[in-house]
Amino acid sequence: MRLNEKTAAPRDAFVFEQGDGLVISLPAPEKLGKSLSTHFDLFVCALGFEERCVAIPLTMSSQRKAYYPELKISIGLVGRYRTNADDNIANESVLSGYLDSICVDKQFVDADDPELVRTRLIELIKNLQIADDSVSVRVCFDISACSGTFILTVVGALLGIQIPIELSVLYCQAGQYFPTYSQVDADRLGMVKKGAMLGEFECYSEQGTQEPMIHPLYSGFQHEGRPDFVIAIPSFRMNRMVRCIDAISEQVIAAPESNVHWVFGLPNHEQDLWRNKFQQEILLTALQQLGSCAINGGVKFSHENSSDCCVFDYRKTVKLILRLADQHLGKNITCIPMGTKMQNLGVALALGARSEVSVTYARPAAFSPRTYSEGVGMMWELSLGPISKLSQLLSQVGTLDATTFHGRIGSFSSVKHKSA
Amino acid sequence: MNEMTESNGSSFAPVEFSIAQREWIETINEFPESITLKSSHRGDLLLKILEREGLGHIAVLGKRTGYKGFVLKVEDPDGRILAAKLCLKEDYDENHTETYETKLAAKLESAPQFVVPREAGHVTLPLDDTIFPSNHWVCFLIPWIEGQTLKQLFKDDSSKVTPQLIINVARQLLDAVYYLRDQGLKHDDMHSGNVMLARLPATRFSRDGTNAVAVKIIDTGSLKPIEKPTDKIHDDRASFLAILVDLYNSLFTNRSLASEYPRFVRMFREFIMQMAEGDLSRYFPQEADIGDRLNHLETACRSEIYEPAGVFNPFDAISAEHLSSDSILVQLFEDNLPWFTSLSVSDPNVLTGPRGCGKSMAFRYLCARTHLLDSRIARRTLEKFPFMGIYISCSIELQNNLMGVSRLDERVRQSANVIETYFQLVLLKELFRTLVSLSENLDVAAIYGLDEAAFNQTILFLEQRSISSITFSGGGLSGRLHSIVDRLESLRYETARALRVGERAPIDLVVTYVAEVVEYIAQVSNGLNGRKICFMLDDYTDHRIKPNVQRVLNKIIWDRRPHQTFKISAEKYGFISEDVDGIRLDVFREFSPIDTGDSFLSKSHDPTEFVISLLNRRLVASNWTGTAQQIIGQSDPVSDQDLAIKIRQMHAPGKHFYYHGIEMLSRLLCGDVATLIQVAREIFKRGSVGPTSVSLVPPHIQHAAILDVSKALVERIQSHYPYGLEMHKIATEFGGMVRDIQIEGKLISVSKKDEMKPARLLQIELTIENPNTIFEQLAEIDQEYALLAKELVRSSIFIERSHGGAKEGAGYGTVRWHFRRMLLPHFKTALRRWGYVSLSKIDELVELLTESASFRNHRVAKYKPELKSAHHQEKLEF
Repeated sequence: MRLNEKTAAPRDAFVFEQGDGLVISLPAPEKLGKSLSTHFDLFVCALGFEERCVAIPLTMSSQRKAYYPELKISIGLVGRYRTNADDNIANESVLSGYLDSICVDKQFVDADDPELVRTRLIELIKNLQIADDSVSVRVCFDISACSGTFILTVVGALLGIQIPIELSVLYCQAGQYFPTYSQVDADRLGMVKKGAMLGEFECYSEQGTQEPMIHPLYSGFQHEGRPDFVIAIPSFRMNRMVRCIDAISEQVIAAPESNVHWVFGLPNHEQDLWRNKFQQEILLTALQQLGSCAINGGVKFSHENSSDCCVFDYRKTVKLILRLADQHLGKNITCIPMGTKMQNLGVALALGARSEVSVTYARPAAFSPRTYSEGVGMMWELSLGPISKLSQLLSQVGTLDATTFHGRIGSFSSVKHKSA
Repeated sequence: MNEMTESNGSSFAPVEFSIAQREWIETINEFPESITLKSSHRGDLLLKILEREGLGHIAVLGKRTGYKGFVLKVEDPDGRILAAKLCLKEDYDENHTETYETKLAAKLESAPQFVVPREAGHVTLPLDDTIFPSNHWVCFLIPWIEGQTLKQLFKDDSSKVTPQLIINVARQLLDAVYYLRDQGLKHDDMHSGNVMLARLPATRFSRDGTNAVAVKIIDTGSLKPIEKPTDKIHDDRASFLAILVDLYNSLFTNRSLASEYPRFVRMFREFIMQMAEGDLSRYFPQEADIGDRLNHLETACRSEIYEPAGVFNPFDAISAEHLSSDSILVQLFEDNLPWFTSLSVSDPNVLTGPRGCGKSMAFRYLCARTHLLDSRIARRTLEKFPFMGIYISCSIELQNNLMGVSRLDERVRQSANVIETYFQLVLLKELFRTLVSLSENLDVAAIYGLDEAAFNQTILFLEQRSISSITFSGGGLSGRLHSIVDRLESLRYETARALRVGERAPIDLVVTYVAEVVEYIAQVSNGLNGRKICFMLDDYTDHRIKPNVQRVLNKIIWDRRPHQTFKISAEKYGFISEDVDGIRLDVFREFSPIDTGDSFLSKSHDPTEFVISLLNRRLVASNWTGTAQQIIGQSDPVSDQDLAIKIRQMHAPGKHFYYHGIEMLSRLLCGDVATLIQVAREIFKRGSVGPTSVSLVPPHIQHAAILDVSKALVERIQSHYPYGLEMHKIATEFGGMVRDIQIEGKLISVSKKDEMKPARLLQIELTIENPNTIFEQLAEIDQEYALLAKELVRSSIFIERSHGGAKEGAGYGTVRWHFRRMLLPHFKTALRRWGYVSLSKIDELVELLTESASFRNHRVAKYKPELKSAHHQEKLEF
């Protein structure tokens, strides 16, 4: 943890802006090793249908048996989705078994009700803190099977709790993500059209779209007579995104080219870079369907209206969101995060420091488990440390600093009196 | 409160309290009833120690304890309340005596920003002798200041660090720093813990009011001649800048305020950076330039408007929400809307229509604040309205904060009081924002019987009713009103937070609170000169404000009062006419309903002039040379009937361009003004029309632009929630039916005297008993049918017209739904109705909803020329 590090001030400046360099001092995810302990008070995860849903609890269970047999986490909180309940239940007994092994107790909560999740987290953390209020409550959040909304909810709730909390995030990647290169390569045009289709059609791993909602933990600050500005982090299916944009205002949907900043996923590995291009093609096709911007050679993505952002390094997302929010300060800013889990983590952290930005989301009505992901990939650990320090550090981005300057900047005497 | 000094750091260890001593003073302390100051000047002075509890403990002393001393609140024999600053005796010697310090400070007596000692001497005060080896203290008697230090403000009350406060503090601090320089002195220990904000009640009623908050620099203990060396890290200028930086950071991290005042944030940051330049004269050649810059900053925080980059482009803002400038809105607003006159009365209204039909624009136009930039024009315009309009944007003020609580009915029930309070805070905030603007335009305020006394009485009334206005703001009457707005905004924010986290709200307003405030204003303003205060709730529709929340708020909205009224805009069926007690409200009795779509479809309304004026206003506002007539030109054919015939004739393959010209644009309108602007925007873009263009955009370009916008609208239906796909299917089949019948169907006449023309069956008509219950009747068949039908109307795929009469008898009426015209170009049809689709029973409507392809086939078959003999042509009625 290097939260206290600051970016170097220019030597000759008395006042300087604390830039997003501060964000780089946040920790990077590290490969999960044998060192992972069960030294936590609260374990939060979600019950999904993917194989990786149980990967981290399994690892923790085996490591506990091998290295820390005496240690158990006080409580496990499992988010349960309203979608795909029948598919998810297939993992329930396995997950419960592992949780019973690493936790003293476990509870379930409706993952699709942000306020309920927040209330439950507050209750649990308050109870956990009763024993000793000078010690932080250690929370471990396994995001492997979490929806973006659930990640935003949990992190948003933890950021708002006025009790010392230390947060670790664990993440298990899938072995294989869909669509694969070979699937896309076989019918690129068809796959692009499929992703761009508006409507309730089944698309890749999603079926249907629920009503767009404003996330209650990220309701933002809106001001009358201000233009809307949207930070859109799309997935490969545009229907949900278009529906959310449509819900914001007529102006944004009519002229997305000038009111939306698109954030395209930039894969970690070179062999996956095609995904970035593929996503842009899908979006372009969707925008052309919206009609108004299909002229003069079509929509052009530039640095003005789009960015590439790493799908894995959450710090890049944090930096980008902070930068966009500050550049567009004063507009009514909405973020529509439909990117990866790590990008959602980045959004949640950034919005802790930019509470004027609201979040709109629309979950799919259901998922197609067979085409969602496959297998278990790499596992990662991210020790974010004390939440209050994290929060404080992020809120410092964009502030001015006059404290590091040691010296004098001269008197006011260089300014002449009017009579002079 | 007062606060003791804190050193801002020196290079060697100074004399200061030990940890134990400090802990004793801050937490354990116990003091006698009085102390005696031995002053060489006034002899012995008995000082009664105030704030003692029990055996002499002073609970608040921790906040007034520094490294070398602490401050007691005392009373002298004349009853004066003073601050007795007790300092470690060891910090004084023959080179640094209390008398020298007092004499030096006396030079600052005439500057109001400094609090200087009146007396200095010695005090014998035996404290816990195990911790304090000496009983002797140096004591300074200083005027007691009510208020708080900036440091305390940043820590405990940062929401009060508003732009107004910042300007006020910066200006007074700057004066103080310059005064010091002019006296040849330096403070040498200036920081936020040594700057107090003193509340001065005596200035409450001053006209000028600039000293409503007074900056007081306390602790002159380090004061010294400017040339005397110091061991401090920062000089006075750097310390001053560090305070500005603290103020900036406090504002910047308060994202609610920062996002409300983006221009101020940017300008203030720039000011600090320029003030930090080594050579100050680079940006401020004259001393007065600094003051001028502060004046600019003050203007920025008073009239914060969002400034879009670059100049206004005619079609930049498609919807009113994106028109940040009121003056542009006034320029662009076209009052030739067919429903505008009905809205401009003092009666309550429910204005319904599709998104982008001009509801928001009209609401904003009717509001007083919109016009107040130019008082002469404002007076002329506002005198015409029988009310003082207060605009409330539900999407901005209510939606985001009430969406969360509305997820569960139970939460709404539990939080009903907080929701009511939140809503009333929003109403009050907007009311007082209007009063701020009016207080700066007393000439206009007179329209509503408001004068300076009325404003002052209103401020007092609100203070007495638990909303304090004095929040360290200056700027006279409008400044004080502005500080009420800031306070209300802060309460609104805290209440919204309480709603989210389920905590107790910071304030609990009775349900009649706003009504009582309005009644009071009416009392002090001669009954508002015969006018009412009219709250205009824009977009009070169920996808913004959920029905369960509307039921709570309706209690306030429907509470009719002599001087208060509400107008509501909503999507069709977006307004729930029921309150939380389940009382169903009679919309027609309580409110006059206005349907924007229906009024545009009225036979008597010709929108051509409206369209010309609408477009030309935008061109003029952008200083563009061309006019709508020049750039869009006349349609060919001009009439819709000729267009229908032309389309029928041109059905053969080939390129035909007929969607062009002003008349065509006018016929596209069903009230959806924003879409028309979108069409114009597209025509201008594709035609490369610029500021100096005066030539006609070729018809084929106009045609393509109209087709593409129409196609996009049809496509977008798919992504609509709910029933996107179902509605897209219905729209596609219905549009296809209209085309098939128009192009291939038999010719029809609508009355005996009319000639036979191509049918344009854009409207369905269904005569039933109790037409008002059409959705209930559908629900009896299947709930889903009712929901789908309502959605078709709500999303304006069909415009529901007022019910027609029926010859079937009393209680019968005709449900009339008109297909949205803007969707028709996608199907390449004409745009004006000739005939209608007659449905004989509700099952046929169900067929449209559920089997739209079959519905289409049946209708098309019915109009096939070969299926019926020429003399058997149907006579259809308008």
